[in-house]
Amino acid sequence: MYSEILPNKLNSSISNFNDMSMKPFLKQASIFILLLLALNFAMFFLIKGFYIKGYDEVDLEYSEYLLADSHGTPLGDFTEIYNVHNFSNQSDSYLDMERKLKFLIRNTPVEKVYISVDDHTLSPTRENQNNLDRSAYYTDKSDYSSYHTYLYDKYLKYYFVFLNERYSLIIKNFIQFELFDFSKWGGSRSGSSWENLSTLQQEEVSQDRINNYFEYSYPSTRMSDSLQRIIALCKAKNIELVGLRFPLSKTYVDILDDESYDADDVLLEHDLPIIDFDSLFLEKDHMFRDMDHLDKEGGKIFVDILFDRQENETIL
Amino acid sequence: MLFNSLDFAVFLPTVFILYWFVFKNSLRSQNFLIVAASYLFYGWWDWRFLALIAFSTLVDYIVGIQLDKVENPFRRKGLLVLSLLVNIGLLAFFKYYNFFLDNFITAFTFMGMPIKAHTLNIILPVGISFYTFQTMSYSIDIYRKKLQATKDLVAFTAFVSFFPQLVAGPIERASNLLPQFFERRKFDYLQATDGLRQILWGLVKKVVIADNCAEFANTIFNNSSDYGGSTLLLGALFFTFQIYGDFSGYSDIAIGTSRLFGFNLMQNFAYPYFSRDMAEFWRRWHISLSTWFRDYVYIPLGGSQGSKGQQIRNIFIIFLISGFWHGANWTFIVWGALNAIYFIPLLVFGKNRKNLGTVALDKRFPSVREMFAMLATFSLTVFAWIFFRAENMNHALSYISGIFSSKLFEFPAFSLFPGAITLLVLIGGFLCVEWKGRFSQYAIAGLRRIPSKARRWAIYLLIIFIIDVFGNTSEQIEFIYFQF
Repeated sequence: MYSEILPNKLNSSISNFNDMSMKPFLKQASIFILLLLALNFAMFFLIKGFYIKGYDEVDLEYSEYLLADSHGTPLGDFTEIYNVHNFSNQSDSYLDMERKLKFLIRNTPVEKVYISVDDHTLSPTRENQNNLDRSAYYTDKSDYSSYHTYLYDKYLKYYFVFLNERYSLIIKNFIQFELFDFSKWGGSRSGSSWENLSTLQQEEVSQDRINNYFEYSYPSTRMSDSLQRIIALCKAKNIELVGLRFPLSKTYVDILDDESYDADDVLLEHDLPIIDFDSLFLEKDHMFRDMDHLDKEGGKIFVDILFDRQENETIL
Repeated sequence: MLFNSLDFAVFLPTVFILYWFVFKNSLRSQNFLIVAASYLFYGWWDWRFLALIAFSTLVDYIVGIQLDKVENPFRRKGLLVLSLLVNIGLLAFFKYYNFFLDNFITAFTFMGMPIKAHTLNIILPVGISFYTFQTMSYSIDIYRKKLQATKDLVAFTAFVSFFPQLVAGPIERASNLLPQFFERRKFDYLQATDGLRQILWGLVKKVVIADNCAEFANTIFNNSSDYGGSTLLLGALFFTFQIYGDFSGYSDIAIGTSRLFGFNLMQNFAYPYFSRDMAEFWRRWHISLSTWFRDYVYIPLGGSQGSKGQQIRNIFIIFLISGFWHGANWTFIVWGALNAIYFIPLLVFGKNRKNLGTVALDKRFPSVREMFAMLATFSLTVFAWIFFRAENMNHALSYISGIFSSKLFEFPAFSLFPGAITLLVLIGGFLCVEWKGRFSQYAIAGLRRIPSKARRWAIYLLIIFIIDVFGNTSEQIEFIYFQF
């Protein structure tokens, strides 16, 4: 009558475990996981080669440091002539700089820190485009609210490619925009500097950057809080903190107008000095890589002006 | 808890180890573990939802036992009605209350009799449409004396709440799934590895195809007035692959996960975009729901018996209900009606069972005729999905009129969507794999036949690499069908 008959009593202790089947499964699964780990570390070292690169390298022999985002990178090692170690990196946010500062304080006597206070450094965009995955290298347990976050950020996310979205994105972008960008095949990569662009092109690129960084009308709370903590930390450790505004190109300054998240004002509120060089090279496009980044040559010249000026105590 | 989350990556191995190592000697304790794990899995969203599923389970458990005991046909019918009322009542309240109220207000206002009523802020419990349908099938089957009720509450609760398929199916029949909770479970190496393979393919569908398509489809649909015809068409195409990847990906992960625990669930998708007509499409798309409606609505209505007029009426009813099942919005109802309109000519001309087998059987490529038929069916499907995805009817209609604008033949605005071309390449590759594997339950099932383990594993590692690199893991995107 019934097409399905269901038993209502269960055999409560039946041995349904087949060791002969589970053992090889566990063995194969373990070997596969090991292979996966091997793939992970192969990818990690690949990424280390072109993404982490020198991010985990710092010279602790200095007592003065420069903390900035990509604006600081063209200054390279030239700062060392003036006994300042350039600890800047592309996309460093205040959260990254805070981690680096804490690391420096833990490991070396720091006397002076130059910190970037450009128009965009408090931008919510910068909050999202940060280096938290890389700067985790400089952290220790005290930088985290829980041991779980510490383990996850410092070790799991740092060393396990599959857990780090940024690593995946970098490989994806490399494949998508470098490997399969036919215009870049055959070594014909265009290296056009800022001065080679027409005024219209300069305006378009500048406007894009402004749209990107000034999408919001308010500064990032996380960035602002982090900057306040940096200031407090420097005060507590008797570290001289100097704000630095990097040179900008004329086209960019004209379009930027008064747009700013006012990171410099935060320092001024604490009576800290600001070196404002944003108008230094307004008529010198040949010193720029793009609208607001110096090229290597520009960086070298800027270092001399910056520290000579400092030595002459002409802080603005 | 989402399948594509770190939480689930910890949850699954933990339950697996407990299931096969700690509770291995007792079927009852294994079932109990499944219940506990399933309630944890479901409660991860909102623990308050647990009360609903527990209530639905208890009602159908009691109704089932009573249906078995009672012989009086009138009382039996009453018990069945009670089960249906409770389950449909839950659905009606949580899913359709505000829809009906809004439409009543609109209708009365239109007739010059404005009424005041307040819509309620109701949270839709995830997967409610799935587990209520599953429990209803249990009561109906017992009523029809196709199934004997179980007195084992733990096994029955495990059947209703079985975590792999709880929130988005496949909607299992009691006659298929419930007996499996009473069978001795023996760990099967081939079944487990097959399950892992299917999970892997499900992740490709979800994370690589669906979630990437979602990004572009959402941008285009949410700003449809900004784009020309060709870009809108591209948006519809992306949504077409998003919904397939999302839903069939979930089903693959659900079926694969079940296999790890020794269970076999029904196939839910059978390469629907390779269908040669709409009837075939509906035999291949969301099979567990289509067959549910067939068995519990269409056939009782008379099915394909009776006059052509009655058959057409039955088809319309089934598709309208199917549309409405997806959500409380006119767009879903129109989507259902449109599919009925696609289907009816096949029925009228007796062609609805023409394409029962798999396309290009024993051939590598389809014939020109088959290719044309597949493209035509696919185009009709893409068009219908626009209604499914649109926010409301006005949006759907403006989207469609936007497609058929003068800009239809312009090149789509790829420059606005960095990565869209890469995604199209990925979709192309995905379709090739699906085409090659169209005779299997899932596309990469055939990999097990590769004799060289090194080659097989290299392919698995490559798939994992693709998931990691090309998968959209920037945020965990919920499966679309959770909302239904």
